[in-house]
Amino acid sequence: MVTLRLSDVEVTLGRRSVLRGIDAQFEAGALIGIVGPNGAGKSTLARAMLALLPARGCIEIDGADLATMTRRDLARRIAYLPQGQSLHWPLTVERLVELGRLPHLAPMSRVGAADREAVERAMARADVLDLRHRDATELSGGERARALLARALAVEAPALIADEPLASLDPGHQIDVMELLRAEAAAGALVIAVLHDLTMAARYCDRLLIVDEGRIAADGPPAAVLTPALLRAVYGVEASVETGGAWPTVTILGRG
Amino acid sequence: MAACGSISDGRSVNRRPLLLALPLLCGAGALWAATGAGGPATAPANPQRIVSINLCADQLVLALADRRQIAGLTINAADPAMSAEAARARGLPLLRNSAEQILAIDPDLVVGMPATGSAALAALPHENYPLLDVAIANEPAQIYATIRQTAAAVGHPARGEALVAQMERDLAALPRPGRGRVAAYYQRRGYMTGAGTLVDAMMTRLGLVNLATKLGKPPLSQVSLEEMVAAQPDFLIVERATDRIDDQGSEMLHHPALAGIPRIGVTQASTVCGGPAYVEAARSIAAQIARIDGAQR
Amino acid sequence: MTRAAPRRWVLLAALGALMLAAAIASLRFGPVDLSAGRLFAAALGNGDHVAHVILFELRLPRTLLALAVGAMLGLAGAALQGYLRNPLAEPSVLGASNAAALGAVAALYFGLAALHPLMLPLLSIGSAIVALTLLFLLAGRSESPLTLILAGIAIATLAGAGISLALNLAPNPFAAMEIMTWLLGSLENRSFAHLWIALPCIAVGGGLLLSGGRDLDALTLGEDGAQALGVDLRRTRLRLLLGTAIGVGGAVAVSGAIGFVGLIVPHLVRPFTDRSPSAILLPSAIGGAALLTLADIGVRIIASTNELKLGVVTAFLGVPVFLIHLMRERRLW
Repeated sequence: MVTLRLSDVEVTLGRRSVLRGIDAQFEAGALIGIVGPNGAGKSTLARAMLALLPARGCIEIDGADLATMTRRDLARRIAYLPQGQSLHWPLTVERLVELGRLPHLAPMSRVGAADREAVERAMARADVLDLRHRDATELSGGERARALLARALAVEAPALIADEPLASLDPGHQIDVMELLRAEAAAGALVIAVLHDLTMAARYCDRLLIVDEGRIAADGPPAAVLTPALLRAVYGVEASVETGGAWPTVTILGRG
Repeated sequence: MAACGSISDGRSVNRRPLLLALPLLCGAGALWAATGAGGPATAPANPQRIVSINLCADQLVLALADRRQIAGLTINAADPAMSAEAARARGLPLLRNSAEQILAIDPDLVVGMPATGSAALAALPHENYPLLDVAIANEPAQIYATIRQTAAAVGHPARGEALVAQMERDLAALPRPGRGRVAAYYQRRGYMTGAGTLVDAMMTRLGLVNLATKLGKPPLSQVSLEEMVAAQPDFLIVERATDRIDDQGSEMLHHPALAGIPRIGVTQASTVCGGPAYVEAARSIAAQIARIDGAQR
Repeated sequence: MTRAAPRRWVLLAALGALMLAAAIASLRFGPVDLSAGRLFAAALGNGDHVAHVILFELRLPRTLLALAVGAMLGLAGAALQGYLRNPLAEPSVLGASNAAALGAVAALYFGLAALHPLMLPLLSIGSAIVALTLLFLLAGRSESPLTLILAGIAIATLAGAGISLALNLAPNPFAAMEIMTWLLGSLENRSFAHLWIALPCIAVGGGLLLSGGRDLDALTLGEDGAQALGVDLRRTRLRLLLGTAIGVGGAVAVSGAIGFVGLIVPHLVRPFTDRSPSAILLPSAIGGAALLTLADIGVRIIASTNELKLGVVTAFLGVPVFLIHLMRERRLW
């Protein structure tokens, strides 16, 4: 069971301080959502956790300092689903998903039987098996999102960070992806998702981190964190939150 | 408005005569420049300020005139690689084909190959210097003619006759080591010269057959390495300047494929100009053939 | 993968056969017409002297060089296209070839190569490194492929002008006539000495590029995605820079700057692979070797007073095929 800990993490890009004083601890078996206004630093936080940015402070995974780890080692522990759906080459879906096995391949070796099984499993979980021979660049937005998710799942890493996985997806497909992420978390992975949609975040995440102007404004279960007062302070909107059902429902009323 | 119109009309009326005059003036100037002051003057019997504007003419002037008669030679006259009479040229004034320099000297004889129509002189159409046009000489008879012509012009006809007589004797005494063997004059980038050239005349005199003649090639042609290897001439005549590889043209002449063919070296000084050095060059080639034959025996 | 594997062997075998055929044709044809029987006898050692010299001293080194230089150019083009994610990338478009030629010209015509035989490849490689470093600085971070190409054209033009200037300033009066050879490329009159200069550089450069295929695949997902898969981007960039500079530098030092091979061969080869950047590397190398050898045969067969320059033939051979493929494929990839 993997643990990711951030201690007093600070990220400065150029002369701008993007993140300050970030303290958090994430344990496996949970789906954690990172939400916040535009430019709050959500993606920056996600990328810092993958050592894609220079960061001050301490980021540890299972007690090991990220700064001292090799890229390959880190790649085997945390899988990353980047923002946007950039795909530079017209690979087949199967070949694309296979890329997820790269952190596990020895330097000059080819994909082995174990890797192929992992690819099959990942494609099955993401429901892209019938798309395996299709050109990934010619898929619809939803299909491509699932294919890229399958690629991230193929890494079979104990942790997964997804940056805005619901972008350009219709509601049906959004539910599919969130269900998948929650199933992964339930199976024992540490899943962190940067989300824009508060409703989806409230519905599926076990825990929400609200990032506002480079700081963590709130950290806890959705029901506790999503309050009208906080929404007003962070987003500058008037909202009502209904906590009666299985998950809190946020209704945005207007500018506050 | 009427006032504006009239002002512009007035201006154009004033300009018109000037506009007409301009082309007339240009034409007159061109005419003046083109006509010059008439044809070249006649040379004095004993010119004292001889200027040579051609490297081959330099050779003739240096061999036949007194040092104090020579007022200017070309820039390459003192370069031993290019000028056979380089030793004699040391200390004499060297010119850079500049009209200014010629004007400053005010020569009483300009020797060239030819001198008429040279670019430097064309820039001085109003000076009429006595000119001597020497013909290009590619074989002994032509060389003797140019020697006599130049000797007469510089005022030493006896020297010319003596030189010609000496050359005739030396050439008659030359051996014919070629014995009908084939030689190719192979230059940078694979160029090969054929019949009607200076080197060709030398080859014939020494009893060699020019590969170009044998293959039916024109006076100047390009021969690839493969063709040269296939032709397998008995000798390869190459310029000494290409012994050092400093460009791809000379690099080609050192290709291993040519390694089996014996080489004879000549300098540019001996192959460019048909002049007094002709005999020396022929002798050198004959000696090298003899040396190669001796080594092979 | 299981479906792609046999296809890959078929592709490699077909390209290998094409390369072999081109090599044999290159030994067969030349300015002097030698019958196949004579050549065969010479190859076995019991032929006449003329055929032996022509085959072993002239045609064999030339053929081997065409194969090696062509392979390097094809491979460098495939690797650069993969790394820069730009369909127009290749050593000559990006200015590396011209820069290497400038280094070679400086070495040869100013007496530096006379100091030590290694000076030629070293200066050629060094110039290529400078040009590629400059290129990456100017346009490496830019998202637009156009910026990269413009930077490359600028560097190529600058280097080309430098070559002209250098040849005109050189102490050797005949140097200026060799500009065309350096800017368009030629394998005329090459010997084994040239092969020994180029081959080690091509081997090292080619090895570096071939070993980086996996990183190129990871870059399909963008720079962040690739890093998250364990790729060290700095090392990848360094490997690409050195591999291209050393390999292309060594090749150009001997042959001059030959264009289009690296641009066209990857595009011709790509439809027969699974289109991932790593799958195109080796086929591009073999295809490049075949293409350049065929172009070199063309140069020898086309009758002209001066031997045609290789770059002219590669352009005429390659660009129409490229255009046809472009129209058929309906997309650049």
